[in-house]
Amino acid sequence: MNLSRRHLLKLGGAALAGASMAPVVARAQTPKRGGTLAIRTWDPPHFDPFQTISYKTHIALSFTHSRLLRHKAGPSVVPGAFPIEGDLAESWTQPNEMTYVFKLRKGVRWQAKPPVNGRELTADDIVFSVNHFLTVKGNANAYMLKSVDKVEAPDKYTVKFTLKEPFVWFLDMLANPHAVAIVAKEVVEKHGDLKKWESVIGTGPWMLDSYRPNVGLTYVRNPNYFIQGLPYIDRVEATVDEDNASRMAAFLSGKYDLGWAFPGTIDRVDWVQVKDTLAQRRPNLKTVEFPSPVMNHISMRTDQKPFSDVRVRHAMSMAIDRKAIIESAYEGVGAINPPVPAALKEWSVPLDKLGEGAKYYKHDPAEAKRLLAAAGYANGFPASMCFTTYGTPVLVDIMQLVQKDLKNVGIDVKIDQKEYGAYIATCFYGKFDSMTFGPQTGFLEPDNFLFGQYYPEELKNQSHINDPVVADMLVRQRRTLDLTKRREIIYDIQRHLAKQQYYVQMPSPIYVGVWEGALKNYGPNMGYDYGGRLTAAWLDR
Amino acid sequence: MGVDTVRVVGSFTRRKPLGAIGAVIVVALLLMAVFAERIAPHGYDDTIRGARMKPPSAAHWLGTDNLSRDMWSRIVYGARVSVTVGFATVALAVTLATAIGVSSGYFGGVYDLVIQRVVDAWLSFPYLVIVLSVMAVLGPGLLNVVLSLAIIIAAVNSRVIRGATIAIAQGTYVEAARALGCGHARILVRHILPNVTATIIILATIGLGAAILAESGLSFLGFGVPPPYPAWGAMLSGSGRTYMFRAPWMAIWPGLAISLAVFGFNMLGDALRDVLDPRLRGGSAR
Repeated sequence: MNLSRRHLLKLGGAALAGASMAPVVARAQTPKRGGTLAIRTWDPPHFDPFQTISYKTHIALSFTHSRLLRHKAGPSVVPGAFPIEGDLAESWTQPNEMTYVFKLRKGVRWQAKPPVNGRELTADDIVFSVNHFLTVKGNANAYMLKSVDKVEAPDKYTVKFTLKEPFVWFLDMLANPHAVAIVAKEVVEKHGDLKKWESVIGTGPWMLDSYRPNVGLTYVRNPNYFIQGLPYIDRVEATVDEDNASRMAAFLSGKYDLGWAFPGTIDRVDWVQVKDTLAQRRPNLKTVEFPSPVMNHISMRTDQKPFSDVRVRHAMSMAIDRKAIIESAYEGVGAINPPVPAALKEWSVPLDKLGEGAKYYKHDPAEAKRLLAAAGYANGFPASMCFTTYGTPVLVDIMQLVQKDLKNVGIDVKIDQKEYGAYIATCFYGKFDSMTFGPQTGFLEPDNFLFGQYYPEELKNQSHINDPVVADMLVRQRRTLDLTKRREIIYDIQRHLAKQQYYVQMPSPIYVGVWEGALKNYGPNMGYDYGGRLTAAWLDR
Repeated sequence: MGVDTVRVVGSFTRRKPLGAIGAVIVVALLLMAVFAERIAPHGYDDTIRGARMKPPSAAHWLGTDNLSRDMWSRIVYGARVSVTVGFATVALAVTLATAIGVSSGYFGGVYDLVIQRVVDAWLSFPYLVIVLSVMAVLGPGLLNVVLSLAIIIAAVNSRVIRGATIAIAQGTYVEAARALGCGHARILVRHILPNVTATIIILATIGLGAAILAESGLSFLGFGVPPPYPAWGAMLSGSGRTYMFRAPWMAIWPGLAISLAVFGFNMLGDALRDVLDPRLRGGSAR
């Protein structure tokens, strides 16, 4: 099945309905302190959040570090929604559209490790962290806050940001676990950078107790966490497990409390295989389904022939059988994506409101051939497609289906398969001659999807797009505070992009969020913030 | 086929039954590789509507995969990758090994010393480290697989060929040729090379199995021939492993194909060694 907007809303509604019962139960139960939570994790390349975009590092630090703001978590939050709440900030105001003032919580203490030894966190720490984030060499996420002109600490508990231009997504960026983890100046000065595990010292709910490379990480409760009584869980054992068969066996035997795939889910391919066994062996498991924000797409050199011709791009999109991809790769359950993935329910334009461009998402090889002929490519054309497997067979399967679909309309694609590092260094940033196929980061708000991929000269503008119409709308949405008006601009952007097909978007899978029933007050969601989602959860076993 | 040929084949089969089975497998593999288009009922990337993960049946002898492709057809086309990599790798490796081994063994002295220390260094690296380094630099692809495997196999084989050359170079007929004023080139081509040919053939046959297995390993790790062209190792590691519980035939057939191919080449290589090596002639080893 492919999910329509209506299905998605139902899904979200079902998730909400399921989740909305949980707080009632939660209120009826008294949270318990203690216990050890076991999860599967990934071995971080290092621990410096300002030196890598790797989810492996950011997930690890979600347990130990705080941000100024965070996304609200728990069973009452519908997966795909990201309400913002204070983390280190107690409150904030926006005196004008380019100024934000944050009041910090008082009495927040760094974890009791040298060189900070539990000293109090102050506004200077925030100023240092933001400036470090913006200026340190090699931070590929720095663009998220490039609207910041200056950050100041008027007093010990106040932080003031002045922006260069209005940027309505500013709070979302601060809350995003990709962005600024608050770190201590002394730690950076002591270690030079934050790559060693010994430098993992934050103000978060857990402290990193030990790190065994390629084996696992152990977190212990931070007794001085600034929210009294939290976290409830004493210990988190995160096991590095790189083999899917091993992970599956471990989960079946009850070793892990969360689904072993990102972000605490089980891939549908595996889920179909193990769900009956799980129903017998682990009858208390809880599940919630929600669409993934990670979508694959074909990017292409739209600044060069033949992709500069919009008819060629339309033909490519119509050549793709998205329903067949959902059937073959996602076990029949997936969501067809417009330019903003369907998972971001608030911002993704429903397909039936996509207007004229909606027809290009329908599989019509005959029309695709006609369009190619009209563009002067009656016999099709040869092309190459840069690709890396990301170590996932599902992506390889989808790539093969895409290649086959394109071949069916005459586009003879040769796969230029690269090693992951080589791919990220070149094709991911638009350095290719013809086409690239692969996934995009599963961002949590639409600006990261749209601005990065479509604004001229942006690093992730893989298709080399320079469209003044879309550029203007991208800037306008960044300056429109009114949510309804902003949503309408973002819908308009997607309608315009659907007509242009600068990227050919593929469907996304529907996640199966899975967790142990004994884990209470937990709600799955997208994103790297594992720690945030577990801070107020407790174990009843 | 003449009477003599039939007699030779019959004799070989009686003396070396495992070798004969190996030969049958190798011939079958060659036929599959050469005539894949005629043997396979479907193209290797043809998707058959409504046939996703169907178990083996009359319509699809080996079943279908998760992308609704006929497994038998993909196994047949996969033989082409194995045979191409096997023969190309061995041809390149043996050529390199012969050049190094024969020259080193024949000339000896400082030249031999230097060359052998280089080979020592070459052999001291774990083979996977060298292969993966080469593949990481050059990228995945058939030619790069051949190159990376050939340089490994060449190092090992050159040592064996050097040993055989040293033994032959001490023969009286080589000494006689030298006394008659033959140059190095003539001695190497007319006297040394013909006498190390049996060793080279044996090394090549045994190397074929090793090359096929190594190619499968590289494809399993994602460094082989890019999809959708089927390579048995990639079929096993990708969808084969993912759907192992629901559609075990997706893993069983490519795994069996690799095992059979390696078994076939190894058995044939063993039998040829027994037949061609004068020291083992008349032995009862099967």
